[in-house]
Amino acid sequence: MAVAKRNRSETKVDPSVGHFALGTSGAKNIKDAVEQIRLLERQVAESKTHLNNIVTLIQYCEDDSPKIIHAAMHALFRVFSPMLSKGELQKPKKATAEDKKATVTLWLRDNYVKYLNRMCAILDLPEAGLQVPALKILLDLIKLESAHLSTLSGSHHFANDLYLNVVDALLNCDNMSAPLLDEFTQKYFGFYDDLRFYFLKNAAQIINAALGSKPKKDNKTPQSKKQKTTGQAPPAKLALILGNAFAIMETLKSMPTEAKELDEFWTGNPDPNNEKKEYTGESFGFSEDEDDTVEDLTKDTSAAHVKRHPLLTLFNHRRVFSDCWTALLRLPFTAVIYKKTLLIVHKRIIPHLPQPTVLMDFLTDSYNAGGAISLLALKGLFVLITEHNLDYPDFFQKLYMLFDRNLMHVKYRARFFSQVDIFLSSPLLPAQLVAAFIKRMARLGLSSPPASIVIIIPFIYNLLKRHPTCMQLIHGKADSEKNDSYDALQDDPMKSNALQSSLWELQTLQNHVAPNVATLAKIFNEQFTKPSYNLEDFLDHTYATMFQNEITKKRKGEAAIAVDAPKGLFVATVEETAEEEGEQDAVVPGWESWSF
Amino acid sequence: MAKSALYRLKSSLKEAGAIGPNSRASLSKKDRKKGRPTAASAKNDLNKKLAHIKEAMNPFEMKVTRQKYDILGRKTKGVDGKPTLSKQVGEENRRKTLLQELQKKNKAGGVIDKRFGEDNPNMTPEEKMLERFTREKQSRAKGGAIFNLEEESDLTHYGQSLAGLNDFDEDGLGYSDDDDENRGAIGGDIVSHSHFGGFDEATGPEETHEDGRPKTKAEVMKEVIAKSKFHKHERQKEKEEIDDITKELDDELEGIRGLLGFADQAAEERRPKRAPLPSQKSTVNRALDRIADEENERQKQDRESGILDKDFDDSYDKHIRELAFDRRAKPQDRLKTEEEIAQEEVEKLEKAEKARKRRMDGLSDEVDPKEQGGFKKRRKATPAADDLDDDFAPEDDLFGLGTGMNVGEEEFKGVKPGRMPSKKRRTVKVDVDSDSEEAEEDDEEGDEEDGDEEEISEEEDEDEEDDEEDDEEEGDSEDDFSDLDMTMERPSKKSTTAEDEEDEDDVNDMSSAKAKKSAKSDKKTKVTADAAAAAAELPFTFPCPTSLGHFMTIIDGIDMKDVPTVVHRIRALYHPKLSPQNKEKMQVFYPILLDYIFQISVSETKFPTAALNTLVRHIYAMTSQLGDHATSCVLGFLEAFESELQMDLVSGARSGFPMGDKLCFLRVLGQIYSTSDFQHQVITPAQLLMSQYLGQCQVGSVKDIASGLMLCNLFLDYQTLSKRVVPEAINFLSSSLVYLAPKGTFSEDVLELPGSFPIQDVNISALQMTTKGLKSVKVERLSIDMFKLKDASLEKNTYRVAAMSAAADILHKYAILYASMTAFSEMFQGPLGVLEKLVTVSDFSSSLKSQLTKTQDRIQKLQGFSTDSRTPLQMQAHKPVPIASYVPKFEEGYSLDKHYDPDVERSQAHKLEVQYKKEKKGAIRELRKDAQFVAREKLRVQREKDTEYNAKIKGIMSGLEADQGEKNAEARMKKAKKMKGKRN
Repeated sequence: MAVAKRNRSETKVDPSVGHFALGTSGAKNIKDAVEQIRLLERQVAESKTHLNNIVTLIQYCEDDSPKIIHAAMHALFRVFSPMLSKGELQKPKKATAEDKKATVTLWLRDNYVKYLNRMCAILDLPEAGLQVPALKILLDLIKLESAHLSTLSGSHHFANDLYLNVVDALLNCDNMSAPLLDEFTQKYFGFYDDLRFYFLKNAAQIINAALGSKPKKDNKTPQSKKQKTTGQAPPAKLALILGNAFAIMETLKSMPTEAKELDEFWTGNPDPNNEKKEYTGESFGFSEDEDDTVEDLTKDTSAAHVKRHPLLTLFNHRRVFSDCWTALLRLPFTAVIYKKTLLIVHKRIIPHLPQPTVLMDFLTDSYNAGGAISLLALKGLFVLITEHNLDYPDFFQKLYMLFDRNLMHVKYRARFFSQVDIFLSSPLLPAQLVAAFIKRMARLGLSSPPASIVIIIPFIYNLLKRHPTCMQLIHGKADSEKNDSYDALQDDPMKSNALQSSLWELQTLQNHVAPNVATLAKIFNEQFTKPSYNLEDFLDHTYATMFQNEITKKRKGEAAIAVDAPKGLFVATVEETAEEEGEQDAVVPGWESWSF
Repeated sequence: MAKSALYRLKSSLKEAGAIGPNSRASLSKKDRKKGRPTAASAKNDLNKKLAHIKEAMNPFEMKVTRQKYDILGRKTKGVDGKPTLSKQVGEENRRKTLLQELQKKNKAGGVIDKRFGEDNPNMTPEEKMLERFTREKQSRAKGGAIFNLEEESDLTHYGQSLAGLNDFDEDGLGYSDDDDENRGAIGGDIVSHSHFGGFDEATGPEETHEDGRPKTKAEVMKEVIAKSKFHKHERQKEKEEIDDITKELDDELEGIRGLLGFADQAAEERRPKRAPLPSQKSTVNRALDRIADEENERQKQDRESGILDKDFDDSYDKHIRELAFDRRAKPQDRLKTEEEIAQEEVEKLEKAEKARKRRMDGLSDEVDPKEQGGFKKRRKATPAADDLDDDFAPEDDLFGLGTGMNVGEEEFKGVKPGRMPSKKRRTVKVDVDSDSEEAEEDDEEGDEEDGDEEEISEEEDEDEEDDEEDDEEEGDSEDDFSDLDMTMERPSKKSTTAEDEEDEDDVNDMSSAKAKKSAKSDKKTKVTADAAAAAAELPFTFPCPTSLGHFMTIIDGIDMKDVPTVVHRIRALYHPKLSPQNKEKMQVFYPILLDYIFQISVSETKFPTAALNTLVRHIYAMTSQLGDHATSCVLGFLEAFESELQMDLVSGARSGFPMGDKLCFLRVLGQIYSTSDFQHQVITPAQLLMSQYLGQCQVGSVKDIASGLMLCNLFLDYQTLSKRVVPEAINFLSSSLVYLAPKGTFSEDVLELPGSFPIQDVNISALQMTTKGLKSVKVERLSIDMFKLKDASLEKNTYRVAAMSAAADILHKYAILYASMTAFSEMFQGPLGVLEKLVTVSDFSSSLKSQLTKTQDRIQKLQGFSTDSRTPLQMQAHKPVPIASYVPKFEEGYSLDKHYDPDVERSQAHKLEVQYKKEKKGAIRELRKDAQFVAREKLRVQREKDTEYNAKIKGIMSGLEADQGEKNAEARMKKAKKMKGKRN
């Protein structure tokens, strides 16, 4: 069976199946060709004597012109779909050479497989106008095939063999166009539970195959008979798979959270009434390798339970989801996808994992990576710590380390601070630690954009309010140490000696050039009567918003004009007259490093 | 033991004196006649006492409410009452009031007794009579005495009788002082004796005739008349003498007349009211000479003709009349002395500085009312919407053109001391906001004068002032088509003056405040000479530009250095004061000018320093003129910059750093607006934009670094006074030092760098200095023109070295600026670390190295000072907040019945309610009793009527019965007689 499969894949890439005699693709030729296709299709439909037309049609599918391909593939779909539903493509039980009927059937099957391969190849074409209908046809064929198989077997069946090819084609698609992606993710992948289920399953399989090693989890599943290509695929291919897989996975928002939600099936609902019927997993496929039916994943977990169709148990869905992501995360990530993954990890990934701790290593590594990645990993890690009992040693020290020179300038600072706010919200934290954080923030504030300063000031206020011991940072004893005892280079917040210091930085910020920042910084001079500031109100400022705010502010009175009339733009007037007389010109004071 | 009721009665009667030895009854008739004190009053007393006893003795009159618990020391009302008595009192009162009303009801007319006390029920007839008697007496005492001829009464003054007072002279009433007034009047003695007061019997001895016999009345009168005639004659003589002296003086006047200058004044009167324009001066002078000549001629003739006296009087009268009818001179501001001007200047500056400081501290723009001098001035500062004068910047006494005009005027006088300020100039100066009427008047005068000028235009001399060339030329050109276009002429005529003033305004601007006067005038001549040279080719009128393109066509072919002159002339021609439409034109022109600055700062190969210097002054003046509109324009520009930057940041195609034009614009902003304000409509967003440039733009080339350095320098310039912290600038300077340093100076690891300034992910290779030949590179200044060069041409060490040197220099300046900040050492930790590393680089040329070392040393020193001087923070120096206490409020002598409502209003309302209820109850009871009384009274009246009727009927009936009885008796008698007769 494996041999047959390999053969098929050979035919897929077989270059010999070349162009027929339709090399030229002028407008007239195209029209003629389309006419010809219609004629051929009609003939096939009329009588079986014209079955040979199928070969011609398949060859039409290899054409250069998109229009011809379009016409041909639809024609073939119309040809094959009735055959499929009638079972004419069913593999004969006893394949004997002399049985003519069997021979025809086999021949038809060969052509059908060829057609399918061609359709998968079309998905790879840069033409979005062909990709979308091709996908549609393929999925329709899956539906038909599944329906046929279901009627044959008497229970629900999914034509995963075909779907695996489709998924493979999608993941390896060089030209993943937006319409194709949208079509697949919105109409099929995100909507139908069975399509999602099998996609996740197949994708994990494909990715693992590409990576060349089997993940541990696979040993639970029955060994696939399909021979996997050993050895890792080239990096370019991995990147391609990663891009496509992530693009599709990223859109997944409809992961079910309850079993009840599993009610949309592309291939028909696996009837809940038939659940008592033992699912055999028997192959009803029409090729020898058609054994990739649904594996019973519930075997070990729900043995005591009444057997349900695996598609109807939430656990199975979660399992494949988890498998798919673990496979995906093993791929070599690019920075962009890494960040995107971290952005969605806490909302779209962790809640659907049966065992969220599988992400522990990934998140810890990310947290240790430094820079923006660390900031982003924080959220996921936070979810693991708070909801899944992850014990993280030296968490605060690492958090402290995250306050580096670029922190205040990165885009994700608002998100980061909203989380730090949660981490530092405990009133039981040691004052020394909190003081270190405060001091560090204030220090960074000296080189921060106004939008970041606006975040840290209320933050520090809240911390001071929560930890009255730290109030000595802003109101110390007059006779205490003059020098700043804070050690900015110390990595351990507990050893930074911050509590003995003073927040001169904040006093300096009271003189900030932006008036609202300066005003905000003055809250430390007032009595601490406000319970706390809501940090959310301060997170979303940027230069642009502050600028807009200033511009659109209601103007009262006229703008104050300079006291003195300008003496000169860069060169003073007095000197200017001197210049006229041929003397050396002098620059306005303050601009000595320029020449004009 | 209680005595019997009878005993008690007796004893009480005895006490009252009704019985017993002192009683009235016991007095003998003799005693009574003698009039013992027990007369009517005693009897009255006795009556009262008896009534009292009667009441007291009657136990049925009393009603006592027995209390359940007797509480000592408590007085309760209404324990015992006299119901019958109170009922009786009520009854009585009703009878007196209600009954009267009832009886008068439905009755019209009647006699109303107005005698005193007639209606008063509370007075006894005796009292009434007594009162009436006293009243009568009083009224007689009041009015009767005046007309009482019989009675003698002395007039007194201070208690002394005035009757004996008959000699006024002796009393000295103060007339003696005013001799002049009394002169010629009849003597006091005469008046006192022979006038109204003098017909007294008691005449003094001097009144007697010489003979000794008393004078008759006729004689006295004759004497009086003679005396008065004499005095009159005396007066006349005196007057004649004075007249003679006056005449003499008048005669002599002619001699000194020339000295007094009456003739000049008269001639002056004939002069035109308005001083001539400079250009008309020669003509006018000539005319004046002619007039003066005529005057002299006439006077000479007069003197010769010999009727000088009369004529002179005549001319004098005329003169007086003319003066009377002459237009009153308007009060004019006293010309200020130089010291005053200087003082004013100083005050103005101080005030402006104070306002600036307030704004810097973030306080409101308004100066405190104390300084402002009350309501009026503030009103002026915020003009109403319909205020026509608000075309001018309200602050023009501070910064605007208004000041310039004044100063210009004064300077004008200073330059030409010999000349009187002309009237027109004065009006322009004094009432800057004068209404259009006056302006029209001036115009008319101007027109007349123009006519004059035309007449004698051929005779024009060459003795005009240098600085009037413009005017003159304009005047000439106007003369050519003044007939054709009068409307054109007027504004342009005015504009010449405006321009004149502008000229001086600019001169004033250019000169620094401290520059001496002489220097000013020197410069002035220079500038005017320059202007004159420019004016040789430049046209004088320009259309007001409507777009940048239009403006460019206007200045097409005009040399760059003359463009400010063009702008100047446009501004003068379309000065907003000249016409309301001009304001709109200037509003259009303003952004065009800004656009133009953009253009020339980029398009010119050499940065047009001189032109920009002048233009920026125009922009400054226009900004203060246009006020809010200018602000909107500038903000529009800033917004455009911002959106452009956003696009650059998103697309990443360009670094986004501003180039020459924007930098130039930002510099202009810093020059025209007050940059030290805590919050400023323009400067605050501009600074935000600048910090965004510095903070978010990716450095890609040396040009970007130069741009950033310029921004840092701009920030430095903006913050010279207010010294606010700009983290972005320090960050940029530090990071650019890192970028520029030769490869290997700093480690690749960002975290290894000193300080906490951010490091961008930039392609350092384009910025790093190459070590090859670095030693020989001389330190140069960065040039503003380098923004026009191509990126590739900047890939030289020269520029990098220049940039590094500039960065160090600017950093040094920032360090000085921020030296007083408490977190100075923290702020400069990063830069200092970078500098320390840079100093060790051996590849630098010695000059660069020395500069870096110098900067490092200075910053290190400042850091040392800063850390030494700072103390731990004491931010919460205010009083501790008191903890709120909730002690219960205890009430002394609390009573359940009392209301302790803390709410005053509620308790008062409650009180009122209670009172109202009580009153209502009482009123209802009273009304009920009234009704009962009325019913009772009606019943009584009815009964009376009935009994009366019954009695009447009874009487009638009895009469009738008697009659009938008599009749019957008679009839019986008759019958008996008849019977008797029959029988007989």
